[in-house]
Amino acid sequence: MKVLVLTTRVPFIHGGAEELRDHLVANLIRHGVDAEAMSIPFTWNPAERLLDEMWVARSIHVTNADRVIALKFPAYLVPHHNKVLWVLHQYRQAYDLWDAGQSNIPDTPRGLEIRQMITGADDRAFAEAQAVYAGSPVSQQRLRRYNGLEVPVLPAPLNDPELFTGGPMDGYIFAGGRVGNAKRQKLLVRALQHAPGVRLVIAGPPESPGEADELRRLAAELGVESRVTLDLRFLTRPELATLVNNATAGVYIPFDEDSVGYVTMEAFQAGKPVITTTDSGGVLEIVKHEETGLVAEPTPEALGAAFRALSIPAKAASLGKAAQQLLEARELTWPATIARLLS
Amino acid sequence: MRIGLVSSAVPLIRGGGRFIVDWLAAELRRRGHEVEVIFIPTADDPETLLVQMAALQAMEFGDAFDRVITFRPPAHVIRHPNKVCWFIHHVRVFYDLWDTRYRPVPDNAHFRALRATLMEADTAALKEARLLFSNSQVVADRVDRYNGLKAEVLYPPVFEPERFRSGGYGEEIVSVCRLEHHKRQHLLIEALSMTRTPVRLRLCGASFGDDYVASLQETARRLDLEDRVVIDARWIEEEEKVAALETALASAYAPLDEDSYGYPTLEAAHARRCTITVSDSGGVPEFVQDGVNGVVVAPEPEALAEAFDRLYADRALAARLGAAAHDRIGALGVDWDTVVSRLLA
Amino acid sequence: MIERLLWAGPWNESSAIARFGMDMVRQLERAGIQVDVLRTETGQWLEPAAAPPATGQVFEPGGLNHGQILFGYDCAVANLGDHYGFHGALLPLLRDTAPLGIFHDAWMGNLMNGWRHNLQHDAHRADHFLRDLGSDPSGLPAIAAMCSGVVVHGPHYRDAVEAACAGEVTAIPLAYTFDAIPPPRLQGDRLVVATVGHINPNKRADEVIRAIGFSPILRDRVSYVLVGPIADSERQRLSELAQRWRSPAPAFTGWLSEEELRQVLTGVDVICCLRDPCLEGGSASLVTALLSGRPTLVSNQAHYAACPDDVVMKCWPGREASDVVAHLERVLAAPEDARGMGQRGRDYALTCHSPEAYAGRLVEAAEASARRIPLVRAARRLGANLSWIAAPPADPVVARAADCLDNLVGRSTQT
Repeated sequence: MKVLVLTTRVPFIHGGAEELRDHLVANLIRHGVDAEAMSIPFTWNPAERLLDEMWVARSIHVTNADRVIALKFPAYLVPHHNKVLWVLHQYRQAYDLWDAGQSNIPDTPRGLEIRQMITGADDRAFAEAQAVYAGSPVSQQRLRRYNGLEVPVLPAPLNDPELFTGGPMDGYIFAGGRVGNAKRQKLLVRALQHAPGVRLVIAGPPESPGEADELRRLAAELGVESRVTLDLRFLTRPELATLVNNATAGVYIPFDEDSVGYVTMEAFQAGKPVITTTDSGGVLEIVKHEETGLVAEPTPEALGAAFRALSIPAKAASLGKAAQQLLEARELTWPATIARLLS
Repeated sequence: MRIGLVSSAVPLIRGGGRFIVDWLAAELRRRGHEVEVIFIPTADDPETLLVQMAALQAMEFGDAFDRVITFRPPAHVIRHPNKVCWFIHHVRVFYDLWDTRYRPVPDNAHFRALRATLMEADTAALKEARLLFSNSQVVADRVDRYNGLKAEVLYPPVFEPERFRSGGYGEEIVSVCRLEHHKRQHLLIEALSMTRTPVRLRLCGASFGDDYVASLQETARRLDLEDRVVIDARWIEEEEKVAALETALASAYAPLDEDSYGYPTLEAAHARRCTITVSDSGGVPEFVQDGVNGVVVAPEPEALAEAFDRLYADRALAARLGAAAHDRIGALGVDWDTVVSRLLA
Repeated sequence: MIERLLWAGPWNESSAIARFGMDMVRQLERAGIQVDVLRTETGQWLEPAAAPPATGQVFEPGGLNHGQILFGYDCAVANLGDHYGFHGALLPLLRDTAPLGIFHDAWMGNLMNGWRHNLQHDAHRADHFLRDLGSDPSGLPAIAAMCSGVVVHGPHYRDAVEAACAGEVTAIPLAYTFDAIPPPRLQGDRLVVATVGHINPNKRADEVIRAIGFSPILRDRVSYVLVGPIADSERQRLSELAQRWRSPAPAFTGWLSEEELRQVLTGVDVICCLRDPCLEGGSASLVTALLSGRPTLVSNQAHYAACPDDVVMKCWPGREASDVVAHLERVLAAPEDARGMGQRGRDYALTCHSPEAYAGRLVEAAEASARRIPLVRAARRLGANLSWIAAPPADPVVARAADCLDNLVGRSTQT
């Protein structure tokens, strides 16, 4: 069987979606199918451009693939007789981000036309697919609300669970993942002011070159630089696993993210509880307050209090164990996911 | 520099046209550039070709890259202020193979118009390139003949050529190449049946279908050569290739009218093995010069047999031609430093 | 070089366009082109086929799929007329093969309605096609957009077609044949005046009746006959009009066979080819009238205006009566001049409206259209993708996409 994974790319961005794409292909191959991924360029500015991106996707002619697994708008518009949509991302700026006033589509009659064409195209793509899965509960809810479509959730499994074995707590709270505005690492640094004695390690690739300097400056300004370790680069999996395995707890506070995200799953796999905020989005699916972690208001004071609470080893261990058990109970494995996508 | 490598590819078919892109990416990154490799699904379907090209033309690559390099058509249609085309070959059924049985459509007025439209589109797109290269003289000649443009020949190197080892010159003539009818491995088997020395033949490589491989096995059986011919029909790993070439007497490569000299010729040369080829192999004689760094004979089993025997009987000759083949690599500039400096000029 | 051509259109004994087609196919074969015919009649209009061409065969409607057409022929010619019964089965050819379209009529509203009605039950295919049909009720732009070239028979509908067609538009005077009949009597004492064809209000019979009734000279010496099928209500109406305007009662022949027509016309002196509004492309009746050697009255518009002034008697379109009076009185006063005009008309028609002349221009148009076929088909495929994303035809993204296709080949001419 030959399977083509289709998605979009932004040049030089390699994040969770790209990791997922690569692991999907690797696991398809492990399953015995011949697979590869092709990622087409996607430009969404200005909003008018979105219409061109759609007809371009529709004009791509895929051959020599028995099945296509498409992950994102507008790649999932590419025609194919045997297409499965694993919807990680619709074009959110036409849907919920539009409602939140955070869209590049203008609030004009033309903007409305653009949004309607996007919605219509999405609907048609969903209808012509053999199956549609949502990548997260948030994505599932969006499809239900905006496209009137009921689909099962198929979350992305952790890619290398065998690395996250856990280990003795070295007494720091670990903040993994991409470093940038939407991930709000600056808020974590501010929270340290309200958590005396707590150490924070921030490690991950920066979204822009100035991130490291800005965080360092902020830490110095607030007088917490001695308790912050910054390692802003793309870490290897073993390097990352070491940092996770030896943490006391993890922290992950993105603004309103679609899905659970790898950072939290890695921590849970290693038996570490996670601190998050009320407005973080998909991660709240598995971070349950006082069960598998702590959910705080997105303020420095509340986060600082959460840092202090989870710095107590016994508490961290207890919540961490529950966290690991929750992950196991959900059967989030690649073989199961692949079987679903190929059925 | 931020460089985009953009090529058209049929999904799930790997081969020379794909490897060159990945290898170039590695070499560029090694030299400190940021590289993104983009393969765009493309079908060689006359029905949809023009629409696919219109879509390629509409794709945006502008801001992210300082330069884009395109390879297999129709990727060369994309727009970028700093576009470099390393033109691997045309959609040949519309060009030099139009008057052959490979043409997928009838030669009537409107399909001739499709051909003309495609040629015009290719010419317009290639003209936009800041630099235009081809992977061989054969392709450069076609670009001149059909598109009226001058392409500079830039030969694709192999990946990590230092992997290849050179040992003694043994009993076996080796061919590491896809087993396909137009690669003509059957000619090599027929040649072997006419040899007088006990020279042996090893054919290894993957095949798209089973038919040709079956026919090769049948030929070997019919000519009573089963103990002298090894047919290893599967994808050959790089280390296996290196090992097979290391002690080969020589390489044999006799495809019909190939676009370029082919990776087998280059790989053999890195291992200091000369290539035995035939006069109608297309681009192979761009590399192989008869008597200087290899053997070029008439495309007949008798002529090939004579060449096999000659090298078997004279190992010093095999070694001398093999060393010269290795020198030829440098003489033609088939190395990554040359390639990178030309592409980024 | 056109070697094999597919002629698509009605192929029977009833349709004038079928008759035109037979003449044309004969000419094309004489020029060395092998021709097959694909019939386009629907339903009860699909009567037994006329005889096949000398070099090819006749396919029943739907007898060839688009793959066979594209692979089998250098180009296809689609004969379009405003009659769903005769032309309805053309739709697949138009959709998929970008033919050269001969637009016999300047208005295709009935044909469009026929398609609209039949497609409404096939929602999937109707979807994007009906969107194209939407805006212009004449149907000309929608159909022209599907063609790789268009032939028109008059200047009056050229603009509408040219704007929509991605290929060339060629104006060719309609070809028609009509064997000679004895010259008109034209003695100056009496005149027999005839209107020929399907008698409907466009033919301006009212104006002729009014003219005859208005002039005492004409009232006395002109008989008016309407030659061709006519609805009872229309016959009634015209008779009443004649009474009201003190015009002699017109005669009606009803439908006539070819032979009967020739016999009747032998007794006719002047033929009326008045038209307003002009919905046809060219007029077989006009060519028949000219070839008959009879002086002919025309409304001075559309393709009629293209005739030289000394070959036909031109009348003010929509208000023909006073010009008809002047022309007919002059014919009575100077019958020799009228006879001369009739002969000039015949010579003119033999030169300009001959099948040989038409076929020559048609082959050129076919060659030009074959060159456009790949881009027109690509544009339709692209259009289908734009329809899929529900972009309305006038949306800016549609123009941008069209530019991408055009720019594929156009760029080499830009600096």
